[in-house]
Amino acid sequence: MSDERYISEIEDRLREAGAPPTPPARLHAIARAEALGPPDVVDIRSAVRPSSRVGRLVLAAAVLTASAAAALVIGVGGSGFHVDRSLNLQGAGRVASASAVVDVGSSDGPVRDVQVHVNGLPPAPKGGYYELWMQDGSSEPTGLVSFDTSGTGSVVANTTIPRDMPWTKCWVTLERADGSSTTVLRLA
Amino acid sequence: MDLSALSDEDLLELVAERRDGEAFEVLYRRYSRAVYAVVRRMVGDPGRSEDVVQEAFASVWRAARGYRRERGSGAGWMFAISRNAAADVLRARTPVAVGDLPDQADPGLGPEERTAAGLEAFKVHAAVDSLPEREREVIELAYFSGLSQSEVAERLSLPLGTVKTRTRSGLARLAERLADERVVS
Repeated sequence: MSDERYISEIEDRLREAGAPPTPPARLHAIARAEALGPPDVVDIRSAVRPSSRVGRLVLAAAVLTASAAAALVIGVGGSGFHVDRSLNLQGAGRVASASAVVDVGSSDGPVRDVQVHVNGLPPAPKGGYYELWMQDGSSEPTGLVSFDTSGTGSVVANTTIPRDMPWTKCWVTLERADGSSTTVLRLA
Repeated sequence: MDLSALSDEDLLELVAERRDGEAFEVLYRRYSRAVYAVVRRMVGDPGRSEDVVQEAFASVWRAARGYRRERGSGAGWMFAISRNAAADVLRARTPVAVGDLPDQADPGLGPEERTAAGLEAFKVHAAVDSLPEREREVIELAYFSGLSQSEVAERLSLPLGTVKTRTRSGLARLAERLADERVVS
């Protein structure tokens, strides 16, 4: 085919195809998390977690109480807490606009302090709660702290991890009253 | 290693065999607009379309091991993944009542023709997004926005000769890729 003819044919194809719509920029992070992140339903049988429905409701109630207390930590938690590493988590699916920063503190004896700053995450459905998880590539996931959010969607939750605890993944799940579990925040 | 020069087929194999996140990223950059365009055309609603695109790329990651280059091009496989993800959403919708069906057949393209036209546009969009940035921007302004080459030069603050060179180089690259995909002869 001559140069002019092939150029003309390509030009025709371009005009026929027209400009594609541009997907929202945030979709990139969501799609990447959806593909590369941990599975939506996490096997947490080995983690500390109540097996009965009553146990779940008791834990959910405890989480609500703890969340109210945790909210008081905002603005105070910086005292004596030295951040060694910060992890950014981004909402997935229906809570795509939610986010969290997980601050892992520097080693202080055998443990490290961990603070989770959550924003834009709606309160868990009745009887449910959120849980922060970490997992090493080969191990079972470890549930680190349970929490819920207030009407503002924000909360600060505190916990500790062993100083040398290995982990490569970090995420937050919604634990529902019926025992099902869905990942709602993943590493950004 | 710069993966952006690799073919779709090579990238899919890297995803399948090495679970290569960077290869997945290149595929996303190359196909996100093409996938979004197909899905928007099928699903309509922007919010639902975003969910479908998300699911489509998750499927690419999960199902890349099922891709066989001897059965067809990577672009064709990506198109099928996108259409299937959109079709899953459409199937979940409430069916149209028989009483709502029109009396006369739609005079427009039939399902097979629509699919063929959609696949061609999909391949064109992906080919444009695989161009080097300097060529892609002049091609898009000229053929998607309808600017003359002088207007493109003014918009990008480039000499007219540079715009002409980049346009021709981009078109030649597109011709090669679209010939491989059998969109042009």
